[in-house]
Amino acid sequence: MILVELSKLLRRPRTWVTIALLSGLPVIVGIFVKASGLAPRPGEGPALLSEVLNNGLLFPAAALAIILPLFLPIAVSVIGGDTVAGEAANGTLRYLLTRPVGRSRLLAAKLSTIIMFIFLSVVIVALVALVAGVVLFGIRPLSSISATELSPFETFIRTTMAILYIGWSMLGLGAIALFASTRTDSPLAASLATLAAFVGSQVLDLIEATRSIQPFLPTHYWLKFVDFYRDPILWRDVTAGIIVQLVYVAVFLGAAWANFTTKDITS
Amino acid sequence: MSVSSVVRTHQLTKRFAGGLLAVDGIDLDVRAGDLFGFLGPNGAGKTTTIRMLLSLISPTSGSIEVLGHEVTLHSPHALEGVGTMVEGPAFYPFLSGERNLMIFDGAGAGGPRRTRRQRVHDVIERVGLTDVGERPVKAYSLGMRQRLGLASALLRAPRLLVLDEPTNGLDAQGIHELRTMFVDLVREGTTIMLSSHLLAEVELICSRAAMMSAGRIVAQDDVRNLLAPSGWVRVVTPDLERAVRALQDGPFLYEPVDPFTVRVNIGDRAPELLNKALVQDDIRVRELVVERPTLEDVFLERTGHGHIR
Repeated sequence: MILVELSKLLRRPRTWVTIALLSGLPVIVGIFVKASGLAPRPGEGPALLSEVLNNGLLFPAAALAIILPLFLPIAVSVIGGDTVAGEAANGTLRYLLTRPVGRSRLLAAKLSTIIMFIFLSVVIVALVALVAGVVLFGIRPLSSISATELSPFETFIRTTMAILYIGWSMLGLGAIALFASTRTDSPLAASLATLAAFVGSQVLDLIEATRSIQPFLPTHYWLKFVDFYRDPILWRDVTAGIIVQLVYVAVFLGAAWANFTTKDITS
Repeated sequence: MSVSSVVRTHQLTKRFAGGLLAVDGIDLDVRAGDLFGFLGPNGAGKTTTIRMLLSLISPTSGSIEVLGHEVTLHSPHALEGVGTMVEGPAFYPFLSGERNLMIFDGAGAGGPRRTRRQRVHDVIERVGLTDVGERPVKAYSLGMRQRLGLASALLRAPRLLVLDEPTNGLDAQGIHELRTMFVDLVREGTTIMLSSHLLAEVELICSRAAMMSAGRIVAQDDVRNLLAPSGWVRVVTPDLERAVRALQDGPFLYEPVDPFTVRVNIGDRAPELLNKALVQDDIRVRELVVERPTLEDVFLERTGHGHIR
């Protein structure tokens, strides 16, 4: 069943259009940065973009930093919100369930689809950005944020870790999307509910008054992937980020399961 | 349960959140080899019942057995021998008809991958879609989708087919082909449960039928029994006045209909005896027809909305 779901994801034109758009934006930014020679100053603009002019190897991480605040979460919300509600709206949900596919199995397959999409997206975006970065900016030894030098190989390792971390950071949102998707027969409603959770989390993360709950917000640790470029790597926030995502996945996957396995399917 | 029961429900009831009592304590009994008509107007509870049989909706109370297995939301395994089409076919429009069936076949348990293409090919051929199997479903006509839905239901050679309004969207030719296919399938040993609001359609092919109205089963029997002669005989004669005079002296209830026709209730006596009596009185009998109810008549009678004609 999981293989069937993955093949559906990969055969769907929308998947590739979404990934192409996600990959395209950083490339456009890269071209303009190159053409103008103007990178944001350190501390401004997307993380790490300030360093890119000096080193193309850093461009994959910068590319992910560009799509991380908005485009990637939107894509995850849309794809995740569609998983179950899309089948319901399309009428195919009843035909999958009467095949029969157990409801838990179907849910597991759908979660796999979301995870697959997330990691497929971040890896492709990073690969496209790597090619674009090397072509546009060339390869040089990298100075870490902590001002020591990282070899190209070390940069590659750090970037891989950062990519995986960013993918991991999307899991909580993916689980929220899956839950929303079991609550409605409208994929649009499920996606919007997920986006509302995302925007809500971002807003609460900005306000001084909500400081006490901020460490528990799903988006709080997203930008901490830059800690992978410190020397030595600063693990504290990254670890917290990984754990927070795990908790969100556990809670919302559980809620999705409790809802979906007892639900009357009238679509 | 008897060995030959394919679908059996006991006091099956569904009350939706909000209080609507959609299905009210029904005892369905579909037997092996039946071409079973499941009838009733829209809103009678047919689709809700079918969705409970297919473990899409959980019953409020009562029990369901399909192919000898208890069906609940958490144990849909009985459905492995069941092919379905419920409330119209549905597919992934961006994929071809063939690819859609590959997905549905692959989604179920078992069914070796090696022979999947062959299984899909076979059912597509059976419904006559071989030429268009590779086109994306979004380019299909309504009738083609209906056929593809049937092909999907036929995957894995199910022992029971549960089909909800399968002739929707088909033209006369398509409906005729479908009926022929149903009869063939039953001959091959498949049991078919066919829901429809078109009673005349079912009358033509079904061997047994249940009728639903307002959540209850109002009749469930062999179609032969449901359509048994009503006891009324319609006599057409140019000598109506003399016929009526003769009937006045006889033991039968009668009812003149028009200047040439009279209906006579002969109960379970042989109609030829009436004919003989009329002819002996020198009454010219132009037609003598034994009246049989249609399923619609039976339905109206059982739901109390009709009259006996």
